[in-house]
Amino acid sequence: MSHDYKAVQWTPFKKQFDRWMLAGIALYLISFVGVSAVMQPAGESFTPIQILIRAMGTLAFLLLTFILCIGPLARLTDRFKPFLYNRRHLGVATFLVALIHAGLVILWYHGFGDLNPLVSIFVSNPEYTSLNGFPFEVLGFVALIILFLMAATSHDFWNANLGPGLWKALHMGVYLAYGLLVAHVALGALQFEKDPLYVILLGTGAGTVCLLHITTAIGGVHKVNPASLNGWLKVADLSDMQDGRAKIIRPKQGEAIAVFRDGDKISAVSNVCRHQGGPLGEGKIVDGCITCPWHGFQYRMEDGCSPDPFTEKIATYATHIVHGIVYVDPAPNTPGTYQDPTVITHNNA
Amino acid sequence: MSIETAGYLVTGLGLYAALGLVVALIYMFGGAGRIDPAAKGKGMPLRARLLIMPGVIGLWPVMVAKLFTQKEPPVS
Repeated sequence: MSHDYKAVQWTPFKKQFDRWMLAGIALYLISFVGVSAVMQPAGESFTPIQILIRAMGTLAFLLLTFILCIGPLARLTDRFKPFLYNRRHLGVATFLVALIHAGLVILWYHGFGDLNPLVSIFVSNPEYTSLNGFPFEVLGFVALIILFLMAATSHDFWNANLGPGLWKALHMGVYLAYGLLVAHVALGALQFEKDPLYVILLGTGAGTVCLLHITTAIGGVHKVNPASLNGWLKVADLSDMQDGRAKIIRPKQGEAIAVFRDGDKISAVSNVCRHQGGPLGEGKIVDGCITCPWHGFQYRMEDGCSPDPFTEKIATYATHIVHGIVYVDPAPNTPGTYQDPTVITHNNA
Repeated sequence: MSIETAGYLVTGLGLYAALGLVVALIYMFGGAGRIDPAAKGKGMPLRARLLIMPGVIGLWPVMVAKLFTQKEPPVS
């Protein structure tokens, strides 16, 4: 868990995920280049590099669009949770694809003049007041810098040493990068591209991202659980509590609470993993410990402490069962405090 | 943007990256372990140290400040 740093925390699933991701990227590029070469309109003669620039550019846009859709989609359906837990590699892949796109652009459009190619990016389209002369390259450059910072700080070392707050703020920059990317395409390629497919691609992608975020934001408001008994929040009927899994409760104040069932015991802990803020309630009990679905950090149910030799601690909460209904006290205990699990008996079930 | 301004901007970015590389090398050879005990010695293998270098280059002012101000080890 946290006592040493590895280059990549591989699991068999992550390796398989990455193989599928790389295969998908290769398939997209081969298809794009092949179809573009065959379908090229009469009178136009794009070079292979120009086609590759477009292939890389559209792929970077599609990957970033998909990454931004993963969070909301995972809230709507469990099918997208594997993507949620592995999107770090998708993000790094997106940066590398965007970097190749930028490198090819600099080489092909700016590399053969007298000016320094990097200087040329900033001065080739100097008309800030014109739609078709706007320096869209600058927008792409800034978006690439943001993607670089995110990819470069995706290692666990950064989350630990920048602190969760600063790290999260830095990585929320993805929305700014996406906005810049949309503007980069709209003020760049779309100004001279005749094929409506690009307009449809941009509009559908950006529209989907906005719609999904608005939908889940509205839905999230209703997830606050108002049902209570003398201040205790209702979690669920005991019959709905799956063994080894949790129900997540979102009090009006404070952190979300994960209420787990392990055989005939019910315990509640903070839903927030100390590692990268992963949703513990979406994990499961493995070897008697709550296991975070993101990176496998573990905590004991009864005291919220990681097993030896690890030292992470999360808050615990009191629970009880009345007439087959599970309740949790929304007041957290100090992280690492032992809290008796509630035992399911014939009397309370 | 004029060519002269763009030239200054690109030169500035290059200098920023060059200074960042110096700080990244400091982090590679001991700096990481200074701010984070978990990154000392074998706690952070060479491949992991190489992976954090681009981030140090990008955020070197923050990381220089941490070398002098981070007294407590990070949470995890």
